[in-house]
Amino acid sequence: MSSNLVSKSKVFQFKFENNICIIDMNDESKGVNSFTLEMLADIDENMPKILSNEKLEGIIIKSSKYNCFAAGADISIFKTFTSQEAGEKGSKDLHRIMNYFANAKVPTIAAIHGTCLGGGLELALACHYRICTTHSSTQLGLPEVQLGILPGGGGTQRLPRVIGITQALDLILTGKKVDGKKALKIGLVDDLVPENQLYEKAIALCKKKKGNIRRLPSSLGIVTSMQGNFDMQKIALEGNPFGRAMITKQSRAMVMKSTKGRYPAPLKALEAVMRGVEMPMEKGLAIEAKLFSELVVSEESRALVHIFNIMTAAKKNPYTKAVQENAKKEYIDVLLNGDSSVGVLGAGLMGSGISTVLAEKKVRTVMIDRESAGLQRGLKSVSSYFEERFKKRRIKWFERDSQIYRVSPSMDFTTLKTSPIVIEAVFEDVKIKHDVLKKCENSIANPNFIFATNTSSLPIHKIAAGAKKPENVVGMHFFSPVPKMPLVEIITTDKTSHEAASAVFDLATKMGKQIIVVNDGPGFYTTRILAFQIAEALNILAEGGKIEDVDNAMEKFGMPVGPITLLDEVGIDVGEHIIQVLFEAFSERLKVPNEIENIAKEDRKGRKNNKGFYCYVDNKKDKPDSSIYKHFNMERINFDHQEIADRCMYVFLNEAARCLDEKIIKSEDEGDLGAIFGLGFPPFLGGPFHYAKVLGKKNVKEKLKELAQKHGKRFEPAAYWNF
Amino acid sequence: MENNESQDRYGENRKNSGSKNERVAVVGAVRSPFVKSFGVFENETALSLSLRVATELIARTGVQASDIDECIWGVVIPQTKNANLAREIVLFSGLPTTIAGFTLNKACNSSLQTAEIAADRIRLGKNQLVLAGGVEVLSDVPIPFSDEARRFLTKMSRAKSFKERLSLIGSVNPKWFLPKPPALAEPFTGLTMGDHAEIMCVKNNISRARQDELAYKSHNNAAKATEAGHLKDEVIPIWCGKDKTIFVDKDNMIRSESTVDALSKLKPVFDRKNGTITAGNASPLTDGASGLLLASESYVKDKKLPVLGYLVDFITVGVDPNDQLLIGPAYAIPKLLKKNNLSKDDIDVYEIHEAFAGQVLSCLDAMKNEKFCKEKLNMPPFGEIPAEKINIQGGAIAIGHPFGATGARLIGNALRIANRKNGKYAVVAVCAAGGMGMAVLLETK
Repeated sequence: MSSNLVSKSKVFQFKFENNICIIDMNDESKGVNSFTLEMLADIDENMPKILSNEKLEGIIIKSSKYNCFAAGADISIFKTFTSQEAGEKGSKDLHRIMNYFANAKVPTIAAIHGTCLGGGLELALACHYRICTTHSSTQLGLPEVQLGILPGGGGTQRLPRVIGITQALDLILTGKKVDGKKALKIGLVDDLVPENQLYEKAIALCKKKKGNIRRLPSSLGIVTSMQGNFDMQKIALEGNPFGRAMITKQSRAMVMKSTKGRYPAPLKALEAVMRGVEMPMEKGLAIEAKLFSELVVSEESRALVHIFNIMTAAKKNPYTKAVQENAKKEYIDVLLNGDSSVGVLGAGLMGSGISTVLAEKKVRTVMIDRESAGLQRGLKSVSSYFEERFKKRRIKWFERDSQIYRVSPSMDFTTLKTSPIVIEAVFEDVKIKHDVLKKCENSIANPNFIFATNTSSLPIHKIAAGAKKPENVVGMHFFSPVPKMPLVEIITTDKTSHEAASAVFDLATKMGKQIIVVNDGPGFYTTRILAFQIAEALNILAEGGKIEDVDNAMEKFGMPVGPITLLDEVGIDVGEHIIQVLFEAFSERLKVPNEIENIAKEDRKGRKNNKGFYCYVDNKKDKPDSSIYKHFNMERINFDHQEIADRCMYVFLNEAARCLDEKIIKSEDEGDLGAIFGLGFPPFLGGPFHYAKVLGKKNVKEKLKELAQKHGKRFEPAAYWNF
Repeated sequence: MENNESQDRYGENRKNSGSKNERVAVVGAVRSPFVKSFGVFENETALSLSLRVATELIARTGVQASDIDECIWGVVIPQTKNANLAREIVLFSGLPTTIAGFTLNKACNSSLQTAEIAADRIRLGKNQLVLAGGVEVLSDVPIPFSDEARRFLTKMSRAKSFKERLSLIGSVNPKWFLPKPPALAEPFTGLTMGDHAEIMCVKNNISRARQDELAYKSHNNAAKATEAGHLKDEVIPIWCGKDKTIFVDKDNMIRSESTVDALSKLKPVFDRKNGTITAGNASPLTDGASGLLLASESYVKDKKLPVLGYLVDFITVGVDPNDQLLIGPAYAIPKLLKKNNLSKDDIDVYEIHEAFAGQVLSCLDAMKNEKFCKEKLNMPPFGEIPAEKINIQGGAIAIGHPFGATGARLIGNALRIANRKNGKYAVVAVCAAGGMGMAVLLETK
């Protein structure tokens, strides 16, 4: 019966069982199932044959891929959307394929286990019924907006018709995922079953619904006819035009607040949903295809897809399998099973943040500080982080407690005896780093323990110089606040062993971080390019620029905070120290106004002592502190915002390029990742290198030359711009 | 032959093969500071304090946590929410889940009992490394409703109709819902521990002056030992309070300024008229946790671990609660020494738990008493233990007495003293509610 059904992509298996067609997806060539053009062609070819079978009583689509139903469209599909027309056609092709399932005369059922995202969920939504498993890997969502597009396979039309408008917007506009339990609650799935019962329950449902298929309402009309329970509130809000107008208004406001209008995708997705629900499905789908096509060719989407690609690539441990396995066995396994703990030196903002994230990932830590008061603050910050999550109902009380308990405070290095990895976050001074390194060497039984140093500017080889085993010293640069900032910059010296780097890579992965592995050098990558940018901002102040002009210009460019605000947040003392370290290394081109030294000297530390470039009222940033201008012998003048942004950005791009020239970073992609996840470079621009390519490398070079003539050597184009 | 190793793990096979029993080494002993109940630890729980002690003990000793076979913990007034505290210690602190755990209650002998069971299993070859200890946080005890209230609540939950519920509610007496704090009383006799100690003092004719003198020495010795840093390795720091703002690294009830004169002025608390027991010569309500890491000698040799000493033998006695409830140590000590062919003078360190000064003195007097020794022990008089061998770093009167934790504290303390004095043997003895007593023989080398 199924002999004439062939899967050219080799992803599908077709099977008939008691007249029910079972379509099984499993792409052996990849870790997940993701839709390629070949797969879609397969469905296009086989579905008409299946549907034309007279004895057919139902269709079940399932996956035998490990913990994955379908993760959405393969990212390679994006390359085919070269024009708006191609995008619209792509979306319409998807609609046609989804419609095989939606319009079938027999029940169609999606049996979902594992990730079910994007196109995967749209396929499931096209089916008449959905069942999913209780397993924790089962996650459903439409993350398309995170790629700068909208669900183009009918998602914007079918989801609101299945679960209601507000619930649908909640998923579509944010891209967030729900687990099986939540999916059942909001009506996204019809049943929630244990993994080993999924198949038989799907068959049973299929038999039960024969001849009595639930169809989606065509339009929501005046009174909603949504599925699921009769819900007065939903009807009151969504079932009339006034309520829907209110939803539109509020959702738009929410999107504008969170995107600052930089990302068109959520707005278009909102438009697709809200216009679509007023009209028949077919017309709604047409609107979806149209809006989808507008987004796929946008620069924002290209940038976000670029980021997605490089993020995925960077998740792979770059070392050989043998190295990885050794490192895992020696350093990581003992941490994951609770046998040993990570030593964290220093209970300050960084140390306690690192402990917090490790505890959250169920890794035990011993947090060491010289002073009981330091540990007090550190422990407080750990416990308030989890208390906060408990209050927001993200975790249960027992999770809160066990996570807090995973951090053991200590003032004594002897408690590190069995720690395979120590992360130090003590004061930024090579002498102190050497001192704690020695103490670790004296206390830890295993001479091969890894000493990961969380420094933002000290050269790693200088720290390693004090070590008995310099091959086990590696830089692990976290960003503050650690639980929030997604990047870890791993810094290797020419002596660092691959095992040590691999172990630290795995640990950072366990901590849920995005990682770049860079070479040692003053300020590594992120600190160096940021320092050049902040120094440029200070130069502008020295030339008479106003604090608020500098910050506003950069925020307008897309940075989350302006460079002067950032300096206040980091601490003027810390920033000044870093800039000085870099000035020593790059004095031939880095220009730093002398005034900053005097500013740091008058005990202006920024937010931490409520005295910085800004005034602070009740711990909140207020107006710029104009008394700071007395340090500069210049009248304040109005600077053009574009000029400020150009200077701060081009010096940043140029220094990033130099890092690539000097092989501090190994690729443009790493440069983009580091800037986006470590420094808040605007994602819609795709990272400094992606952005430079959009601008055109040649144009960047010209602009740099022009700036170099006006402002000096720091703008002299790096060799990178020549090619 | 091929099964040799796995069989070796079981004692019987070992005995059959003629191999010697394993010696049981104490590789680590630490405790939290002992503090006044309802004070600085009021935001702590039996669990939080226990796992702090347990993880710190493991970290300081430097053993691989996955080598630990079992966690055995004692607690006298357990919380209902984590009834098997020992297992929760393992799970909540993120230790390897392979470490099994059980919790026991043998009143104030609890943590000595955890050590005995751990030692026995090691000796039999069943385990190689065991975490033992105990805790009491009186600031964290369940406050149950009265029996009437409990019956009403369970009936309500089972009531089927509205009418039934209504009639049940009609029968309620609000008094039922006054919470019943747990009393530190002997359920079998209805008397408090203090009442029983008063009975002992009268029976043995222990004067108020002798009791106050002992209490004074307890404070004085404890203060001196703390000052000299003798407790430094034993007591671990705790960060507590709501925002972890309170730092505690010392016992907080030791009074270095205590005098016999001041003690003599306190009013009796149990028998207010004729009694001799005061707040000054009794152990106070205390929060604290204490833990031991015990290992087989072969494990110790294999891992080259430093050893505090060895657990040689344990004994438990039971007495009639209506007679002298807390006299157990007077039976246990002579019996334990006789069993091990040791005499009173072979022992370099005696740690006799100070529930009440009068109770300690009763025990010491009884052991000297010819009639007592003959009638109760069928032995010649045990004789007088020299004062310079007893509780020389103070006792529970000064340091405090978290019921479940005291035994483990005494084992660590006795071994550290014996090591410092270059002694060979130490004995720990603790009385317990229910008319029990335990004694432990320790060896330093």
